[in-house]
Amino acid sequence: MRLPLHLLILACTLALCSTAQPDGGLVRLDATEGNIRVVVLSSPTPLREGLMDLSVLVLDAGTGDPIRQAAVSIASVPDDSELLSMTFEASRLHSDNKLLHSALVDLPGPSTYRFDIAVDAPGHGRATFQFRADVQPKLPAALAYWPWMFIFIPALGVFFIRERLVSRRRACAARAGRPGSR
Amino acid sequence: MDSLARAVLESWTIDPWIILLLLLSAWIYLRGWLGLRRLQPHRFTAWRLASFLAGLLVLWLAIASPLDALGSLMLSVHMTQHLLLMLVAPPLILMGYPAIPMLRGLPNGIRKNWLGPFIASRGVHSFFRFLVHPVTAWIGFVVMTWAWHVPAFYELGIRSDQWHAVEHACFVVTGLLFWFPVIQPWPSTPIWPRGAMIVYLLLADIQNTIFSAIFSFSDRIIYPSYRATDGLMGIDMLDDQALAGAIMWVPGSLLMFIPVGFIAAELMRNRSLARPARPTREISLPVFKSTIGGAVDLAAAPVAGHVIRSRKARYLLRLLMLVLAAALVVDGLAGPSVPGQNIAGVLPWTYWRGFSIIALLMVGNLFCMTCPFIVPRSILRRWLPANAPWPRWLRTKWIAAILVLAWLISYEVLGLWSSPWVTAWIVIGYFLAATIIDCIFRGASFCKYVCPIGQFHFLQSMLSPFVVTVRRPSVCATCTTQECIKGSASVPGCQLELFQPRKIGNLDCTFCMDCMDACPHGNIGLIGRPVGTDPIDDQHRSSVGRLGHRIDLSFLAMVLCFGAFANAAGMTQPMMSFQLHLAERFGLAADWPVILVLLLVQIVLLPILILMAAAGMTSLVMGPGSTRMRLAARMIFALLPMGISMWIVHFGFHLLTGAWTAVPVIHRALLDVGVPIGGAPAWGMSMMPSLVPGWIASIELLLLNGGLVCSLVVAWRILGRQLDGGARTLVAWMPWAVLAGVMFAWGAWIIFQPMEMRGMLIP
Repeated sequence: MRLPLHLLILACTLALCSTAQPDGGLVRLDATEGNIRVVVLSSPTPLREGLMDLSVLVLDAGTGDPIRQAAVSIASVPDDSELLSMTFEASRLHSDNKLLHSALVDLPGPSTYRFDIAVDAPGHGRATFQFRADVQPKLPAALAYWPWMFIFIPALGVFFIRERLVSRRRACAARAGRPGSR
Repeated sequence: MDSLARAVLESWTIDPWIILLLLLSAWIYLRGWLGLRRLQPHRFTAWRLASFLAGLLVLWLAIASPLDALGSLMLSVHMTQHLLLMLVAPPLILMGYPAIPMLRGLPNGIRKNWLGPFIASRGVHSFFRFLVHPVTAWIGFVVMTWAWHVPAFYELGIRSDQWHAVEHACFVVTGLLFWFPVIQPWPSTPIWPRGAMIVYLLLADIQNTIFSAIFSFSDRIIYPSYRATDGLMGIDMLDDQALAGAIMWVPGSLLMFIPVGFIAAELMRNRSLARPARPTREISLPVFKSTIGGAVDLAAAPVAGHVIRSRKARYLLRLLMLVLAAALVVDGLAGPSVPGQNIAGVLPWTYWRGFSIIALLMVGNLFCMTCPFIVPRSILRRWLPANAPWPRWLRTKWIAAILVLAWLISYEVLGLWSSPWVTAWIVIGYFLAATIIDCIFRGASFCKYVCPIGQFHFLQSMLSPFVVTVRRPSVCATCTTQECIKGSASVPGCQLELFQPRKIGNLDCTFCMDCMDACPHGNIGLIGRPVGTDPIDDQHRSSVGRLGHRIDLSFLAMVLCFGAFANAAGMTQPMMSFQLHLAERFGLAADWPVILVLLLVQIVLLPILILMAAAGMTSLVMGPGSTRMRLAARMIFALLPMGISMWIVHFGFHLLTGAWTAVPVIHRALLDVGVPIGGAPAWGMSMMPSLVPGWIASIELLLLNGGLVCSLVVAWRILGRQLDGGARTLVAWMPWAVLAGVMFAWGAWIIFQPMEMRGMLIP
C-alpha cells in the first residue's frame, strides 16, 4: 500500500514539472560570436508541443557584463515541413529575472526544431546563434493536469482519518462512561 | 544607480499564491495573538508578533526577491537564499510561539471539528514528538542539507521551478524541526536538558563547516549549470563557489553560535545544566476560545451588515437591478443582434450568472435579495390586494422543476444566449409572469412555486456559508406574536411561509430579510455555518418538510444537479459534433430534435436509472424499511455539491474569459444613446482569446475536486446517521461514491474539451 502512494506523489511532482515556467530551465546553449556571448535556457524539460519558455542571457563576451538593451528575436524552424516556422521577440518584460530576455515560444507540433537566435546589441554588433532540440508530442490534457484531478484523494484521506479518530474517542468515552459518548 | 543594478533590483518573482499563503498565515496568527495578548500579556508580547511576522517576511524575501531570480545564475546568491530559508526564517517564526495563536486564529468550526480530533490524538502527539526529537530533527536537517546539494539533485532544482519549490519546502520544514528543540516554543516541553542543546548546535555547526569547506576549497565548479554563467559580470564561477562556501560558513556558524551564547547565559542564570527542565502544563482552555462568541453574524458586520439590515438599501439594490434589466431589454430589442456587442448578450450570460453563483458560494442567495422582478409587484400591491391563496394542489415544486427543465432545454435548442432579442423577451415575460401571479395570489407564490431562477438559487444556497436564522432560540421560545411569519403593521412577515424558529437551512429562502425587519426582538441574523451541513440535516423544515420525503423537491435537485453537466457539455466541440452527426445519421434537417432527446436522456432518464440503481444497492445494506425511491430522493441531496461545482466551473469560465466584454459593449450603448465618449469601442476586449490560460483549467479542477469531496462527505454523513458508521456505512456509501466519481470524471472531461466562448466576438 505504501509503494503506490509514493509512486503517486512522485508522479504528481513529475507531472507538475512538465508545465512551462519562465526564467530558467535547462541550459541549451552557451556560445560566443564576436563581442556577444549568449546563454540560452529552456523550460519545460523535455520540450513538448505547446508553449515553451526560452530565456536568453546576452553578455559582453569581453567583460561578462549583461547587455540589457539588446534586441533578441527567436525563430523556431521545425524539420517537419507541415508545421509552421514562427518568430518571437524575446524581451525583459516577460521575465522575472530582468537580466534575461524571455519569450513564450509556441511549438505547433512534435518534431526536431532548429532555433535561430538573432541578437542585435547596440555597441556590440549583431550575432546569430543556433541550437537544435527535439520536441515531443503534447501530453493529453488529462495527463498534463492530472495532479489537479486527484487532490480529492488526500482530502478524503484526512476526512476518514478524522472520522476514525472521532469514533475511537467516542468509543473510549463510552467505555469510561463519560459524556460525549453517544 | 547603474542599469545593471537596477535590473537586479527589479528581478522580483511575484507569485500570487505564495503572497496569499503568507498573508493568510499572518492574518490567522494576528487574529489569535490579539486574543491571547489579552489573556497572557506577559507571554504574547509585541516582539513575539514582530518575530513571527519578520520570519514570514524573510521567507518571502528568500523566495520572491532578486535572490530567487539570480540564484540560477550565481551559486553565492543561491546559498544566501538557502541560508535564509534554513537558518533565519524558521527560528524567527518559532520565536513567535506560533502553535496556539495559529489555532486560536482559525474559525471555531475548523479548529473544533477538523483540527480538534488530530490535536487530541495521542498518535499525532507521538508522531510530532518524534519529529521534533533532537535526534530526528538534527538528522533531518543534515540529510536535507547534504542531499539537496548533491549535484544531481541540485541541478534538478535549477532546471525545474517545481523541484526548486520542493527543495525550498524541504529546507523550511527541516529548518523548523531543527530549531524547534532549540527555541522550544510555548507550550511545548523539552525532551532533553537545556544544556544538551549546546552540543546539538555545535555538532550542527561542525557539519556546516565541513559542508562549507567543500565549496570553498574545491578546485572545480561543482554544479554544471554554473559553468554556463562563468564570467558573468566578470565573476569567475570558481570564485563565486568559494564565496558561496564562505557565506554558509561564516554567517551560518554565527547563526548557530548566537543561540549557543543565549542558552549558556540562561543556564548560568538558572544553574540547571544537569537537570532536565520540568514539563509545565500552563496551557488552559481559555486560550482556545475565540474572541468572537459563537458563529459569525454577517448582519452584525460593520458595512455589509448595514446594507443587509437596511430596507432602503435593499430596495435601492433592487432598483439598480431594475435599471440594468431595463437597459438589457432596450438594448436587446433595439441594439445590435451580435450577442458579444449587446448588453442582453453579455450582462445575463457572462456577468449575472457568474456573479450570482460566486455570491452563492461566498455568502448566500444574494440574487433573490436584489431581484428586480419583485419591484413591480411591491408597487402594484398598493392597489391590488392579492388575497387569493395559491391553489393547494399546486403547492409543490413540480411546476418549477418542469420550468427549470424547459429552461435548460430551450437554452440549447433555441440558443437563448446567442439572441439578445430573445433574451430581452424572456426578461419581459419574466416581469409579466411575476407581476400577474403576485398581483393575484398572496405571499411570494411566484418565487416559491414558479420561478425557475429562484429554485436554482434556493437549492444551490443549501451549500452557502451563511443562513438566515435566529440568533438565540431561547428568545423565540418566549415570543407569542410571531411577527417573523405573521408580519407587523409596517412590515410583512415571511412571504414564503418560513417560520424562523423551525426554519432549517436556506431552502426556499429569498434572503429578502422581511423576517429580520419584522422581528421586534432583533433576533434574526445572517449566521455563518459549516458548508455542507444543510443537505445532511434530516429534521422537518418549516414549509418544506423533510428532505427525501418530497419527491418533487428531489426531482428538482436531480434536474439541477445533472443539468449542470448537460448544460456545460452542450458547449463543447465533441458534443456539438456528436449532435450534428446524429442529426445527419437520422436524416434530420435540423439538430434540435437530437439536442432535445440528448438533454432529456442526460438530465432525466439516465439520472433516474442511475439513482435508482445506486439506491437499490444501498437498500440491500439498509435492510427493510428503506424504499429505493425514498433513498434515491434523499441521496440526491448528497450530489448537490457536485452539481454546484459544475455550475461554478461553467459560469466561472465565461466570467473569466469574458471579464472585459462589458467595457466595449457599454461604450457602444452609451454612444448609441448619444453620450459623447471619445473614440470607438475597444472590441478587442470582447474577442475570444486564441488560447485559454492553463491556470483557468487548474482552478476549474480544484473547484470540481471541492465539489466531489463535499458530496462524498455529505453522502457519508447522511448514511452514517442511519447506519452508525463502520463497515456497513462504507458499503452503503460505495455506490454513491462511484456515482459522484463518474460525475467528477464527466466534469473533468468537459473542462478539457475545446469550448464555445459564448457572448464573445470571433476574431
